[in-house]
Amino acid sequence: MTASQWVSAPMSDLVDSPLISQDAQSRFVNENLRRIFLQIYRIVGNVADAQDLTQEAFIKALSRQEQLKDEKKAAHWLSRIATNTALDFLRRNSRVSFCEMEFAPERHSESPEEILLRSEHQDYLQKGLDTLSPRERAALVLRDVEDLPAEEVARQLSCSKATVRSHIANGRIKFRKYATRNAR
Amino acid sequence: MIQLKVPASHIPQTQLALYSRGDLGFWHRKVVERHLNHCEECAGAAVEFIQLQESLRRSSDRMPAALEGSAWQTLASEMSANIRLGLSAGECVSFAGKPSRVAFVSRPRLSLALAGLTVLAVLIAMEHPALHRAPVPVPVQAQAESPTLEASGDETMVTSGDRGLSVPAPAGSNVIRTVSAHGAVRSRYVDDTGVTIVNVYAE
Repeated sequence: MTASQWVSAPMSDLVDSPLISQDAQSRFVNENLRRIFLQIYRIVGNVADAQDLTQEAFIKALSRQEQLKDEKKAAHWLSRIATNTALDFLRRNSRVSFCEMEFAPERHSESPEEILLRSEHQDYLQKGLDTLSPRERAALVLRDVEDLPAEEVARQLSCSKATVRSHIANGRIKFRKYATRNAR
Repeated sequence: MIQLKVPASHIPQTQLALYSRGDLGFWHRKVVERHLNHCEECAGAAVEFIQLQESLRRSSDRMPAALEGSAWQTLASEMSANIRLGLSAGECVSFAGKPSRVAFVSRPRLSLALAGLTVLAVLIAMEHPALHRAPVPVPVQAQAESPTLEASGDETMVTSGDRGLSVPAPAGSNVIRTVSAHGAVRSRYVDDTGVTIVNVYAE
C-alpha cells in the first residue's frame, strides 16, 4: 500500500482525543508499520537500521500528534516524518549498507528457485537504489515507489519543486545506468 | 534534387527521465512527444525509464528476502512493543521534565525571602548586642531520596522523590516478574503481539 492509497481512519481517533488510548495507538501502528518500514528500508538499505528508524519515526509521530492539523494528511505527515528520520540518519552516518541475509526465507507457495530469483531481483533493485545519493534515493522512492506527486516529494524533502525534479531525474538516470551495466 | 536530411538532436536524458512519468511541463512534454515519434533511440530510452519505474513499483510492497514469512511477523511484534515502550518512557520523561512550580517559581522567591530575613536579623543583632547569640534560621535542603523499584498490579515503577517512571503491562495479561538482588525487576508477558520482556533497573 502506498501513501497515496492510505486511509486515515485510525488517525482520526488519535486527533479527536487529547489522551489517546493505547488501542488507538496500536491500531495506528499496526496499519502503517509495514508501509513505513518498507519506505525507510528502501532509503537506508538494511533491515537493522530500518527497524530502529521505523520505531523512532512512530514514536516521534505519536508524541507530536498535536502538530497534525488535518487528519486527511496523516499518511503524508507520517511519511514525511519517516523520510526525515531516515535522511537524518544517513546524514549522521554518511554511509549506506547493504541487505542482510540473517534469516532464511520462508515461503511455501514458491519453489526454492522462484524464491531465489525473487530475492535476487529484490537485492538487485536495492543495490541499484544504493548507487544514488540519499536525497536522490529518497526522491525516487517517494515519487516512483510511493507514488507521491512531485509537489509532495518537495515538501517532504523540504526543498523546491525544481530541486526535487533534479533529484528525481538524476536518480532515474543513475538507476538506468546501473541497470544497463548490470543487465540480466 | 538533393534532399538534405538534418538529424534532429536527441532529447537530453534529464528530460526523458522526467517525461517518463509525466514530470515535464506541458510544452516540454509536447516537444519530447514530437521527437519520440521519429527517433527510435530516444523512444527506446524513454521505454527503459518507464520499465525501470514499473519494476521498482512492483517491488514496493515486497519485503526483503530476509523478512519473508514469519520473520516479518516477529520483527513487527518487536517493533510494536518497542514503540509502546518508547511512548511510555517518553510520557514519563516529559512529565518529569516539566518545570515544577516548587522548583522554578517558589524557590527563588523563598531564597529571596530567606536572604531578606537574614539581612534583617543581622541588622537587628547589630542594633541589639544581646541578640548576637540568637540562632539564625538556616534553610535545610531535603536530601534526594534514593530510587525505589516497585512492581504492583499491571505496572513496574521506579520512583525517586517526586519523579517516577512507570512501565505498564496490558491489563489482564499474565505477567511473570523476577526480582534480582542488583536492583532490577524483569517483567515477562504474552500479548497479541507476542512475548514482551521489560527490564527496569534502579540506579
